[in-house]
Amino acid sequence: MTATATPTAAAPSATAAPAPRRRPGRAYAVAASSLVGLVVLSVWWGTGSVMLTPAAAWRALVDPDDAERIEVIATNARLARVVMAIGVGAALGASGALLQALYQNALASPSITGVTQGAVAAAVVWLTFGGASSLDEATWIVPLVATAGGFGAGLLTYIAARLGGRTDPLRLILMGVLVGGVLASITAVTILASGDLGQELIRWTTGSLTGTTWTKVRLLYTGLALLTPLVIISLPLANVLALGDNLAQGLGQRVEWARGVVLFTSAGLVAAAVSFVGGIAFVGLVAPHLTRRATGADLRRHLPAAALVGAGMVAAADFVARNVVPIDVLRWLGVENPQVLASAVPAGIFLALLGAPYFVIILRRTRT
Amino acid sequence: MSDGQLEAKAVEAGYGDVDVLKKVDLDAVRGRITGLIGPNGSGKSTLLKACAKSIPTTSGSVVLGGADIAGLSTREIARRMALLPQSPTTPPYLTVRELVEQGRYAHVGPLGMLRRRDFEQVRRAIELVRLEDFIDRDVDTLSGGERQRAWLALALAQDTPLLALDEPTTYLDIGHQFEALELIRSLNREQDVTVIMVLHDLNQAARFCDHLVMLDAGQVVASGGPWEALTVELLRRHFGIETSIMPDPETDHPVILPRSSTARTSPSTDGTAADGTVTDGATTDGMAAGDTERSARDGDDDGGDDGVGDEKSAADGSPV
Repeated sequence: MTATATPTAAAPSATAAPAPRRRPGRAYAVAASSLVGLVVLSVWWGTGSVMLTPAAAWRALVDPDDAERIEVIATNARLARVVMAIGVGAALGASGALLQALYQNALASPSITGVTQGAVAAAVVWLTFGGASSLDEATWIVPLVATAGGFGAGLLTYIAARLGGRTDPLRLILMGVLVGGVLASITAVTILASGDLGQELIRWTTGSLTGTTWTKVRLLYTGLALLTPLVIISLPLANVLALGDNLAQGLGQRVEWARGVVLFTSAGLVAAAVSFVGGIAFVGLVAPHLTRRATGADLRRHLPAAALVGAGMVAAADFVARNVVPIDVLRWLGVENPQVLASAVPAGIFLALLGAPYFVIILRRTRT
Repeated sequence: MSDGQLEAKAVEAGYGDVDVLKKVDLDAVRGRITGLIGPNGSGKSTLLKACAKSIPTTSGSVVLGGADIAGLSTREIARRMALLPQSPTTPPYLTVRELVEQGRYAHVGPLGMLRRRDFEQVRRAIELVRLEDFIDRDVDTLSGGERQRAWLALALAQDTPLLALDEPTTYLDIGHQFEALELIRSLNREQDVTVIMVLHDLNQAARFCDHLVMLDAGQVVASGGPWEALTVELLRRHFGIETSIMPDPETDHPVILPRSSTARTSPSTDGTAADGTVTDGATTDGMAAGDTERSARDGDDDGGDDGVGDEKSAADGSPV
């Protein structure tokens, strides 16, 4: 009797709530589950074409006297990849959150600033016509060139939009799409002209963590550490910008200056990420969407959550890329080195394959 | 620091090459509610923006709380005057509290950290508009009237002695219009906030404003108390409408009963405005096609209140 009475008594009060009231607990739930996800993933770096137990993987990390082979595989290759994935995903998620506030548009993402395409184009052109004959040769030169390319494209977009005097969001979007389109064409033409290098270059356009080294990881995190103060400064600026230019001005903001700072910060984040792994798509668009419903649009809560979820997304995609490609199928197809190919499948492909349908589901449930 | 007094003298401003305001004077006396009225495209919103330095003035001066705005930073202006644009876009997934906190932008430190005083002001603003029960609700889930109060709280959180409101009653039903206006009046009377507001409903302007300024084609054509600024003659000339005006039996404010629309005549052909200002030149053809583009882009402009259409009247050369 009591068992049936209790729910019926409780139900009306629950449904009588006037309208959806956001529960702050949900924000923490998102953050906590992302964190758990990251921990699980980092333990799973032992999983791959050569299997390690989590214990062995950890041992390889902390015990330098452990079997050399395990150490090399586990720490140098896989752990570096996981750490790289986390940094890249966090940067892309954070920059997506900033850009969606800046453009007052939930469809904004790093790719509409032209920065992604600029970094990819610069890297591809440099690898083809510059000094380096293979991707490995250019551990730090290529990321630097790509970063410069990303900033260059972002600056070009900003200047082109500012020619009319003001950089309102619509002009910025149009110019970003324009600049991005031109740069994507340059990338495509360069790849066509690059001959043997072509297959490796294609990975740049979809984003891949193959070839990650600790040197690259260190470079990325140095960049992110330098950008962190800028991100903190950008939070209140972007919050006010999201209310629209007129209101922002009325609230005491120097709108053009604020927009410049926020754009520079997000361009920096994107350039840093893309320079090491290529044009990983979707994270910057999807991660802010996944988190906004739980944390709300206030960037003080939204940005950290988007960064966490972005990190989880890229780490998960790379995990899938490393482990889920059916090696037997590749062998059956006549691929000579199925393990090598499987580990080289770009994580970006899985992000697009899995991210797109999920995004459609999310959009159906999102109020506009 | 600032006393809420605003004095605009011979202000000229516009958008690009189009001059909207032609030597406009505006005097918002401390403690009063000043209403800006006038037909579409007369420059009411533009005047508010020029006074807040949202758009540059080409000549004239605006003195805000004893200092010329030319020498004030955006932040300093925002501490003296809060400007609420007409029907601002409501960002999704932002709670009332989070929205109102943005009102402290001009007061907080470089990293945007809110201090105890800021939290107190945010709470005070939300209590003044009686939204305490909605503090953690998303603004875009509120009803129109509640939402307008949330925007008002944002402006109040700026803690300025002067509040400039561009059509604070747009899109509200008549009950919520009165609720908003009564709230504004009580803020004016009890919190000593000086108010300038653009209103389209002349009866509401007559009832809630101490002083009215009528603009037409970027010029002040009348300025005074409700009985001085709202006359049959002025309404015919500048709004193109035949009216009967009578005192409200309870409040004694003028009540305007529209009778029929008339073709608007050129102001220069029939002399002077009620306050003795000689009106020259411009015709009042209100909106022209060019308006729609600007209002679509800016979002907050009230369908051509910026008088872009005046280009046409200048080209006509119609007066004389």
